Amino acid sequence: MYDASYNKAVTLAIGSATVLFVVTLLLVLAIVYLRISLGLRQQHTKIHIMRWQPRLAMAILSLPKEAPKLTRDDSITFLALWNHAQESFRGDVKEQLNELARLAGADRVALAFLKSRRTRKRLMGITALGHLREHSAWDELVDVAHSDNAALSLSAMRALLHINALAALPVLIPLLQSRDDWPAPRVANILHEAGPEIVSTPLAGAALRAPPDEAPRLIRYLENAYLAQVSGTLGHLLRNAEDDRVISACLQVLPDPLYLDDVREFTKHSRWHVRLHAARALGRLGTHDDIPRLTELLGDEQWWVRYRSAQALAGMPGMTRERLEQIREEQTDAFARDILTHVMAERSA
Amino acid sequence: MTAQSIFAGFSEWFFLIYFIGLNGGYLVLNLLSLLTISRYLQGSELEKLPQAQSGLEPPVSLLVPAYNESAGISQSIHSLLQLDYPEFEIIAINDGSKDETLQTLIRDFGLVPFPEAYRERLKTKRVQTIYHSREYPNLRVIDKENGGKADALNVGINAARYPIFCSVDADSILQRDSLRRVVRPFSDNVDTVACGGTVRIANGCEVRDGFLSRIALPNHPLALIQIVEYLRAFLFGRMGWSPLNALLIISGAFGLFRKEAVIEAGGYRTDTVGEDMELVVRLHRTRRAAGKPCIISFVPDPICWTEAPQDLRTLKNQRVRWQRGLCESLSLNMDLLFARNSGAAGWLAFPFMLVFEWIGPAVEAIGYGLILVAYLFDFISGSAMLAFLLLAISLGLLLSVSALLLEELSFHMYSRPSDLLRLVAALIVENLGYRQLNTAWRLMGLWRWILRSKGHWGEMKRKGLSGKQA
Repeated sequence: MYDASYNKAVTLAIGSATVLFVVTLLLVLAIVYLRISLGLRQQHTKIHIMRWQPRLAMAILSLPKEAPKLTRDDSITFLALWNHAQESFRGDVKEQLNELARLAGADRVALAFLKSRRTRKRLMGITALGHLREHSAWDELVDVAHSDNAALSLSAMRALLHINALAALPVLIPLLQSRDDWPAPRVANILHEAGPEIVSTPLAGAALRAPPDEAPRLIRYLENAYLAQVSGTLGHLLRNAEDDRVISACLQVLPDPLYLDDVREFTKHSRWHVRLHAARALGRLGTHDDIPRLTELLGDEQWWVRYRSAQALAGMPGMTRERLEQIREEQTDAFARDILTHVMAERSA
Repeated sequence: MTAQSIFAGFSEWFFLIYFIGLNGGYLVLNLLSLLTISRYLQGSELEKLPQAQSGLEPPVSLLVPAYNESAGISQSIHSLLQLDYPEFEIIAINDGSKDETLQTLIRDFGLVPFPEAYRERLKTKRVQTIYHSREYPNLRVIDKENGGKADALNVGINAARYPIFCSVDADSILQRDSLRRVVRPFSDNVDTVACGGTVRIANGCEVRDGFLSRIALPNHPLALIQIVEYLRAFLFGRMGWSPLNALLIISGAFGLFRKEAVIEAGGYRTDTVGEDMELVVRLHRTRRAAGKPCIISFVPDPICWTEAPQDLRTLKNQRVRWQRGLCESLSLNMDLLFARNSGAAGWLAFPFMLVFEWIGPAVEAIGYGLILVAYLFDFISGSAMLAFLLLAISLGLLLSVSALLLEELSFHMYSRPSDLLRLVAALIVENLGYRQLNTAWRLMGLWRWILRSKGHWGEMKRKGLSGKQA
């Protein structure tokens, strides 16, 4: 009744369905296995936490004298707990935790983790090596800092700064310039940790030498520097830069009224983001003389320039609500009046 | 060779190729998701450390459009105010509600009119009054003429002060750290223009003060089946496209966007029911055509929980609306298809969506119909019909089980042993009737799109979640 090819197709369909059912069943079994092994892992983790948490707590209170050696099973749990504790405390406690880690053999474990193929283990190992200030891992950490993986490279850079901040700077500065895949908030974090006394001068030097494409990123990192130390660099860049992105970046961090005249000039710049940052800088550094300049900016074509100028104006030294109302009444431009009304309402809220 | 046999041969091959393409595509997405989730989870190790949060994350404007939400709007805003994030503002937009939504907000948050210098960068219906809260400085409420959800979101974008905005449905339940998790792609890459996260079903869970306090499976079978469906849709439907930068959907329930990129693209379209998907497809189309960077990311973390419909009528309406939205989103952005510089979005995801999601319901229905007709007219035997149905069902089961495996490998939110049994039972039922029913609803959506019937705010009959107030 049905031809041979038809029967073959039906057989093939039944065969395929059977194979798929078997694969599906195997997957269900895999899920059950995962569920059981997860349960066991969680039980083991609990046991490891109970084993190490009291010792970590003791190490936070006083320098440990002895500790059991880490085993293959509890090393991940220990390093997770230990890294967490390291990042939660400051001062002598960190040294006490380091002593506990060395007594337990965590330094060797961290070095082994650094060579692991699993990213999770490598990240744990790198972080631990940084806290332990493990000099023997220096070369390998430098290699990882140059790797393509942004999370690994940034963690390695942080570890290098922990180990020896001064020696790490020649590695850090070129990478800061070239790595646009490093998240800015995290870079700011590690610069803050390294300390402004260390990063200020080299960072300022790099900002001066950087091409216009890379300079704005470095300039914004200068927020983490000793602003007094980098003020001259910022002023120099502000006066000589031709690229509007560099000018904007300088205006955002400029700490010194010494360059106020330059800032004032930029309120007339053709690019609106430069005018906006000039208005903000005037709000930070300006004097009573800048009130007419900011008032003029209230009528700018860009909402953000008007808004920031109104905020700067309202924050001028000696500015009162009555004076602001008077300025508002003097405006012939409805946009200028509206934005001032808006900012006055915000301030009185 | 007769015309009948030529037709039979053609349809046989067409359905075979279609079947292999559809399921093969999903299996490839599944494998991609597996790799991506495992890499994501390994890389997120650092996030668990206390110093990982710098406090320098970009500030975010949360936009909460509301239409006739008087019953739950205050609780939603209260929970949003408690989000764990360094700097954010909340803009609730009352889209001309006919109930007491605005009055409730005014009363519960001490709202007073605010003389805001409002910029209309996106054209919208008239804004009537802008309020700000005396108690919560980061809360504003905008009262506007009714214009639909997209129009309300456009008003929110106009009023947003921060460079990134997040659209949140008023009935969404978020995790306290939702914003932190989903903003990460923006911090990591400045070219990111949008990012979404996994939406989970909250039915059966316990909610306390607007946040989830206990995760559990629902007892209602329809909600349980939708849990499996959502796992499949999010854990590999979206996660699979993300590493290829070809994600075409970000759920309207919770999605982050770079404001300037959205304004440049023209904001949300007000003439579609699928404004969330349409915007994402349009961002791909316009930015890629202009040679601008366009990274649209996805984080697999469960960041937003929503109540799923538990009655067939509401579920049907939702699915019909989703299918219509998908048809509109694709048809309005056809230029993305095989466009130069369109990358995997234009060369893989768009054609995949077009063939398997847009016209998919029609092809599936015709396929089922043809098998039945062939059996009735004795072109195929009963055993052959069963064999083909068995094959279709077994592939569906395999895909659902692999989604469950992904969940088990990653977040394993449903931890009780009985949960696993119930989920396996649900995925069997899902493939034996529910999917076919869904196909019929999607076919209706396709039909309504062809008829171009008018869309409206997606109202949903809700049962409510087991909640506790402090």
